[in-house]
Amino acid sequence: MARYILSRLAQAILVLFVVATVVFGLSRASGNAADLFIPQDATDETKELVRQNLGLDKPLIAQYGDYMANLAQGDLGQSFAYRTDVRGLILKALPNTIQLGVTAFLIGSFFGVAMGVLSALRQGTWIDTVGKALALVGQSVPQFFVGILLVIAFAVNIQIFPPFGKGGIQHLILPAVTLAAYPLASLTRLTRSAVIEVLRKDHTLFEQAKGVSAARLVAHTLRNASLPIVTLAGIQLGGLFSGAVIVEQIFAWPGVGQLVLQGINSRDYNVVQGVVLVNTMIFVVVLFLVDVSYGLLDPRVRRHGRGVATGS
Amino acid sequence: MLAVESLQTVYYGGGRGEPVPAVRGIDLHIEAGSATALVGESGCGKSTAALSIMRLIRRPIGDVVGGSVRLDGEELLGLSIAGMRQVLLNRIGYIPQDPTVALDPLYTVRSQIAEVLPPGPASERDAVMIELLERLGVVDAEARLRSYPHEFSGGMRQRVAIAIALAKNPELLIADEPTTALDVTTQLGILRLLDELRRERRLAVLFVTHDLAVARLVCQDVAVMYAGLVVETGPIAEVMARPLHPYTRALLDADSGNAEPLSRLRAIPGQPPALTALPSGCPFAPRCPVAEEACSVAIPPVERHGAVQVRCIKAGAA
Ligand SMILES: Nc1ncnc2c1ncn2[C@@H]1O[C@H](COP(=O)(O)OP(=O)(O)OP(=O)(O)O)[C@@H](O)[C@H]1O
Ligand SMILES: [Mg+2]
Repeated sequence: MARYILSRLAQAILVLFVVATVVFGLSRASGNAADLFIPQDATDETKELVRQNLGLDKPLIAQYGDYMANLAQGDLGQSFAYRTDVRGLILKALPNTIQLGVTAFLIGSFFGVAMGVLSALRQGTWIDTVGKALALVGQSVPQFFVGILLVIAFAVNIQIFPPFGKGGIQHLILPAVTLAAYPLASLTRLTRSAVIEVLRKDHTLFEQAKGVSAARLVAHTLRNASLPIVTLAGIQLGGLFSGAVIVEQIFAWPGVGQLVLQGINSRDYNVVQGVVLVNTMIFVVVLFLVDVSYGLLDPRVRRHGRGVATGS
Repeated sequence: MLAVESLQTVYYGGGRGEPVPAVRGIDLHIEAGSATALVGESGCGKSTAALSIMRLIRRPIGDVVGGSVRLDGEELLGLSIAGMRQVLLNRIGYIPQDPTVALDPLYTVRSQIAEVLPPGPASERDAVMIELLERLGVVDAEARLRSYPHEFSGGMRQRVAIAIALAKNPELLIADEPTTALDVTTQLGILRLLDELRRERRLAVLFVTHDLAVARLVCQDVAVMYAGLVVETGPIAEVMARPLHPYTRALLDADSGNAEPLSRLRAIPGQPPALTALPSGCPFAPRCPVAEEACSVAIPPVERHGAVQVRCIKAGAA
C-alpha cells in the first residue's frame, strides 16, 4: 500500500509540473507579455524598464527557471488590477469557494448516492421511475436556469432564502443546491447502474445464499459498486471549484470564480494564471485521494498498483 | 428431509416482462445421508430449480409461482424473507457453479467464511475456519485466511466456497455443477471430498450436473430434467441400467462415447424447445424417435415402474 501511495504521489506531482509548464508556455506564446501591462503610448525606455523588472529580457529558459522557483515558493506574481500579490487575492476568495463547493459536494454525493441505491434496489417501481426522471432533468437543465428557478421560487415567491450575497448559512443554501444539481443527477445515474451491475454478479447471489443479514448484503453491494462512484464523485468534486464560476456570478458569491471573471475582463493575466494553477492543484489532490481510496477499497488495485482515476 | 412438490418457477424475461416458465412442476425427495443428481441439457432449468428451493429467484427477475418445498417438514415457500434468511444461514449450504466469480473480490477469505459462523470470540472462530479449510485440503490455512480471492487458484476458491457451505453445519447441501469450472484432477478431489462429507455428516445432497458419469460417482438417485420437467427419476443404478424415458436413453447413448461431457450431450439430434414456445404435449416429442400423435396432446402424467417414476406414455418402448 505504501508503495502504491508513493507512486500515485509521484504521478500527481508530475501532473502539476506539466500543467505549470504548459501555463508558462501559453503565457509566453500568446505574444509579448509586457505589452499586456504597458500602456500603448509609453516610451521605449519605460517599456524596457518594465521588461527588466518583469525579468522578460532574460533568455526564455532563465525566465522559466524564475517562474518555477517562484511557484515552488507559492508566489503567483502580482495582480495589475488590484496592485497586490495574486496569492493574497486567491487566499481570500478560496475559502468562500471551498465552502460553497464542499457543501454542494456533500449535498450532491449524499442525495445522489442515496437516490441511486434506492432506484437500483426498487428497480422498475415508481421510485425508480421518479429517480431516473429527476436525474435526467438534473443533468440536462443548464446551471444558470436551475439557479434562476431556485431564486424565483425560494427568494422571490416564498421568501425564505436571500437571493444573493454571502452571510449566514441561509445565504449558502441556494447557491450550493444550484451547484449540487448536476453532480447529484450524474451520481444518481451512475450509482443506480453500478449497484444494478453488482446485484447481477454471481458473488451477490452467493452472498444471498449464505443467508447473511440485509445490512451485510448492502455493505457488500455498496463496496463493490463504490469504485466507479468514488471516481465520478472525485471528478465532480474537482470540477465543482472551477464550475462555481457561473453560480458565484448568479448569487454574487465572493469566491475564486468571481475573481477569475474579473481577471479575464481586466486582462489581469497573473490572476487568471494563478487561479488555473490553484484549480489544477485542487483537481490533482482530489484525484490523488481518489486513487488512495481505490487502494483502500480494492485489494486488487493495491497489489497491482494500478490507479484508476489518474489512469495508467 | 427435502421434499419438493410441483415446484413452478417463472422468469419475467419475456417481452414486457411476461412470465416465462423455466421450472414447470417438479418433484424431488432427498433423504438425509443421500445424494440426488439433477441432470439434463444446458438450459433445462437445473440451476433455476436449485435456486428456487433456496428462494433466490425473486422479483423483478422471476418468481416461484407454485408448489411446495419442505425441509424437515417445514414449508419454505411460506416463510418471510427474514425467516428464509435464517434457514439459509443455518440449514442449507450452497456450492456455486463457478467458484472463480462466486466470492466477493473485495473481502478476505476470513471475513467471507466468518459471515456464516455463529458469533463468538475471534480466536475461536479462526480456529473453526482453519480446521475446516485444512480438512478441505487447503495447506497453510492460517496464513491463507488473510488472503483475498484473487490470490487463490480456482480449485482453492471452490474449497473456500465449500468451506462457507459447510461452516453452517447444514442439513441440505445444494451443489450446482461444483466441478465443471475445474481441471480434471481437481474435479476428482472435490467430488471425493463431497462424497466423504455426505457420509460423515449425513447430509442430504442435491447435486446438479451435466454429466451422468460424474453423477454415478457421487449420487444414489437421479432426476432427469427436460424443458422444466423431471421426466424420469429413481435410483441411479436402476435408471442407468434400464432407462425408461427415451430422453434418458438418448442421454446415456450420447454418454457412452468418450468425448467431453458437453459435446456428448450435444450429440442428441435437435434442440430443446424454447421456453417461450413450449409444445402442449411432451416437450421431448419433437426430438423423440418413438413419439406418436398421442404424445403431443398433453404432458404425460407420472407413471410408476417399481422404484422409478417416468413421464412417458410409451415408457420402456424401444
Ligand atoms: N435471469 C433469467 N432471466 C430470464 N431467463 C432466464 C434467466 N436465467 C435463466 N433463464 C432461462 O431459464 C432456463 C433455465 O435456465 P437454468 O440456468 O436453470 O438452466 P440450467 O439447466 O442450469 O443450464 P446450465 O446447464 O447451462 O447451467 C434457460 O432457458 C434460461 O435461458
Ligand atoms: Mg446451471
